Amino acid sequence: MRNLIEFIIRYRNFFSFFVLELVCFTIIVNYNREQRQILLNSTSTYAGTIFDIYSNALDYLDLREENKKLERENTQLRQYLQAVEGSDFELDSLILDSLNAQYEFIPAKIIKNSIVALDNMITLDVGKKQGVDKHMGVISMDGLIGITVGVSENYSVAMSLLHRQTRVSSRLRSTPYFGSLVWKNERDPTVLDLDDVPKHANIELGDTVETSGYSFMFPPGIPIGTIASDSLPEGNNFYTIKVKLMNDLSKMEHVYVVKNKDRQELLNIEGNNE
Amino acid sequence: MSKDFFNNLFRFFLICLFQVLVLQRIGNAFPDFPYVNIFIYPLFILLLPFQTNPMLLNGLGFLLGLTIDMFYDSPGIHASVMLFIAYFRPSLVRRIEPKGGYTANSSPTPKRMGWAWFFRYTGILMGLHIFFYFSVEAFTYVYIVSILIKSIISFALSMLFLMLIMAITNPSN
Repeated sequence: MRNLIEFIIRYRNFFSFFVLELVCFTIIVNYNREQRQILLNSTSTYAGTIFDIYSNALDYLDLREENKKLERENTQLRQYLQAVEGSDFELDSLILDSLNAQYEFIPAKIIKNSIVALDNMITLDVGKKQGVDKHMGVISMDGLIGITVGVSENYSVAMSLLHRQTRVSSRLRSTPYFGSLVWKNERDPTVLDLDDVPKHANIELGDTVETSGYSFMFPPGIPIGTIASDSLPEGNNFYTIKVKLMNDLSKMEHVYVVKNKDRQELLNIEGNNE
Repeated sequence: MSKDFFNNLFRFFLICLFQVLVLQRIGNAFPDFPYVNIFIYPLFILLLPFQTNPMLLNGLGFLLGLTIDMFYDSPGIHASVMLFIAYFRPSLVRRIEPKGGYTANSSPTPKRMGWAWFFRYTGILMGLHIFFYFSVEAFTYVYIVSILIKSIISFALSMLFLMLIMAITNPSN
């Protein structure tokens, strides 16, 4: 111990340099987005294969949680089914309904995801073959994930909710006001901003924010998050609302791509009458 | 001692102000040509007296870097590079010691040491500084070509400004 102290004192100049340099690099990596990105991505840049094997192995560790999620989903679906069976619906109309349903859900698996970049993208293991196309919503059982922007035969790429260009038309559950959901707080992947809600709207903290369905990408009424805080900036006619996401975008695996069968028709009629 | 202290304190503020109010703006004036990066702020560390305590040198380098980082909005980058230069300075000073040795209580200025010696001294430290700065900024050697191009242009411009400043002010300490 004494030797160690003597050693440090003898090379105190080097140690002061070393400690301060450690401080510097901690600051750099924590406060500079680019350098942080590079540090986090260097594994995939230099050893992509190792990274792949690693994530494959980790998949098995998540199985328990994934199972639970699917179980929960199953229970929910069972409950819906029971509610339907108990009601006076006729079976014929039900079948007809589900055949003519506007929205179709394509199950998919996330094979690549990120939440630390400014513009996060997600890769899904479904593509044209499974009926996925551009501009389709991606949802999970407990919230939104993103919007597809590119498809190949077997894969598709989606802009995550955590992408600065992603905008989702959303509404408040208790009042009919709607706005546009966008990610602005780039440091926090759990909070989004709801813009364009007029100032005469009555806003309650904790109210659920859900999809409005106006963009034809998501069916209306899917819960996205809850209102964490709201403020009305001086001289502004629109609220600044912070929405806390319900789902954790950093751990998602099984998702659904939403196919709106009438989307083209809706876009055509809107385009013709503008 | 106290004269040296106030002299250098004054120099610290003057150099920082010149760096962020003039040189940073010159760099920002060419948004299409991102190669105009002129750094003269290491001059503060370069001009400290020869007998400055190495640990004090480290501390001052770190402080100077952090100050510049505040204005360049790049927390830690200038600090790490400046710290490295401050740490490296004593061994360089030892290596390029002239035959007669250094005069006591003097600073490495062209007036004391001659222009040739000063040019070599500044050239080595500024070259290291600029190369390390762009390396840390890029944080990976994937972009080595762009790092080198930026370094060479920035080095030439910075040395030009440095020598001009020294020629105009020509301080003895």
